[in-house]
Amino acid sequence: MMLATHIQTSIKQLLANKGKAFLTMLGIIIGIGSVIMIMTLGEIAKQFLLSQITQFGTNVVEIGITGELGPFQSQTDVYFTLDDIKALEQSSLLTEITGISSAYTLSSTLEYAGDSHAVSVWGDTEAAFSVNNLNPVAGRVYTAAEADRADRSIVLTERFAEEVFDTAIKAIGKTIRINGTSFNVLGVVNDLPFGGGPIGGNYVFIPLKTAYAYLAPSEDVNKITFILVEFAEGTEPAGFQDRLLFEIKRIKHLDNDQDDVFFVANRQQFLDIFDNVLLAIQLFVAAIAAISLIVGGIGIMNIMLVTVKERTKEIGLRKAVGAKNRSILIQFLIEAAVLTTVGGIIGIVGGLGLCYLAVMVVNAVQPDWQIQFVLVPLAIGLACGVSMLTGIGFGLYPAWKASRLHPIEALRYE
Amino acid sequence: MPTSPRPSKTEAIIRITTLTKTYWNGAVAIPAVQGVDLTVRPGEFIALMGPSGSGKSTLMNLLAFLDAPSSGSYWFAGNNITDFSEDYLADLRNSVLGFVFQQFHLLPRTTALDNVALPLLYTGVKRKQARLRAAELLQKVGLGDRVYHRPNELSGGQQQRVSIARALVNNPMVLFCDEPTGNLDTKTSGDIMKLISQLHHEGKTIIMVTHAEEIADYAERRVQLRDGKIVQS
Repeated sequence: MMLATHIQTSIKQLLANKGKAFLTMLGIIIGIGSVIMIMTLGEIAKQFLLSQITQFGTNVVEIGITGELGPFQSQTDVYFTLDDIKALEQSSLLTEITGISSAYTLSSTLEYAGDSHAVSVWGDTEAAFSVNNLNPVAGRVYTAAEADRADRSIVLTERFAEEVFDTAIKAIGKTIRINGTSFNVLGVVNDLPFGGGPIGGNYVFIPLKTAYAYLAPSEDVNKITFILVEFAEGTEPAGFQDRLLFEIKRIKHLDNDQDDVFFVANRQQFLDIFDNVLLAIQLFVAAIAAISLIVGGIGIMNIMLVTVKERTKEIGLRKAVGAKNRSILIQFLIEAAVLTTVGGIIGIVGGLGLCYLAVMVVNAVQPDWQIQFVLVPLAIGLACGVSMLTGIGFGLYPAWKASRLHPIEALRYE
Repeated sequence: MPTSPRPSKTEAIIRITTLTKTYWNGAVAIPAVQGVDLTVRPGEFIALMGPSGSGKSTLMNLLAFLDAPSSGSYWFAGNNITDFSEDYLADLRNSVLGFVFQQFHLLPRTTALDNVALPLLYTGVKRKQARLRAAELLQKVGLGDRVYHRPNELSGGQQQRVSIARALVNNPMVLFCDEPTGNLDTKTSGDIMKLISQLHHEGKTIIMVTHAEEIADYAERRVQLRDGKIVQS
């Protein structure tokens, strides 16, 4: 009964003691604010990662060689060569392959107009560009024929090109030097996701054979550091990966149980790992938020006990004119719930505000990431519900005490 | 809701026989009301009087369903009241009684209108209707132009008028007044007593607790208590 009246009374009470109410709600505000923040930031990070990875292509398996062959085999025994790549491409077990990027990478220094720049040189076939979703923003990438001829052509990544030449266009046709060898800038492609990963990347691409011919130390010639195998959309990744490994072991004459030799990563796995890490962080923050909510709830209980004491006469009067114990109980439960819900709403608005601010800051620092702010309706609903339940839970004892007051004693209370 | 048929003119509205109330202070029994017989007829205006500790307040609390007696019987409007559970007494207070207190007991930060309407909300009357009825009664007690004032914007006499309006809002069978002028100056006291007398002349049954002779003079019958017993009725 009279729910609207109770809510109105509660809000009146709250507004009459704004400062006190705010301090009381602080625990709830912090608890709910952190729940909202971690859920929203988690979702924002996930969306960002997803957008980066889908741009990168999720239907790619990366395989590297760890060199851990066990005690009786030499480490240099196993590595990929271009012949292996050809064998994989032609395998009847792996018809889903749409391209293989076969990378030989080394760190070096690029010189232009008297300036030196640290670069990661990525020697690869022309497949590198399609497999990694790298598209020319200026000029063009090298062709299969040019790669096969070991042309001294080079393709730069966008940010690096802008760093050296101001704009991507200006880089085209320029001659740069790496380790004393001159290269002709053929084109500029978009940056790799996450700016090229933790290695931090001024990535430059040259044909694999060019890398062997001019830059690789003699013992590295014909060795491939890692391969990226792109497979057709709709392929079941786990099964494909198993068959791929089986074929690689067959080609490399390895025993079937020598899985340690390879480092295998598909990007779906990467997403799964991120999901797990995110979940762990979210659970951890949820635990802290729970503590904050408990502390906040005890604060609410405390203030409600004080309120019941202060308003003993009012309770006596209400009972004298016919309020039953249940009506008084409900009235004070609603007051506690209104208090925590208002605290929850402040927490939600504050948490979302901080998230928005964080997104703006990150976007200001890393403009090319273009992180999108997202609202998580589930988190907002959950936060509202939890804050209301906190009020009802911790308001129960004070409300019960209020409802048990004897009307005569309550009316005479001084 | 209790069944409460309006009594005929001759039937007693309240009849109590050998009513007692004993409070316990640890193991010590304090007999506040010791076997009281009293009959109140419809339309009567009774003043309950007696020195402090005489049991007049306890008796009023028992008559007004604010407390349960230790023994004895209580007929209200012909019904023998045997159920003294908190919920049932709350229903009785809400439906057949009105209260005027010495300290007014108005809700702060709440308009006169909503203060008067309060008992009806516990009856389950819709707020809009309750407010209409409350406005009607504020008009009756002479505060038609003060309906949206809050208690702190009203004088003591005006506050007591609001509380009288609140006591009448459910059209009670009996109006209980506990020292209704105890917090008011002489002039205002006279005004309030004139209002209560007017209600009596309109046929309301009124039971008033007071210790002041000049206030008791407004009543038509005095019930004098001493040591928990009626000494003069």
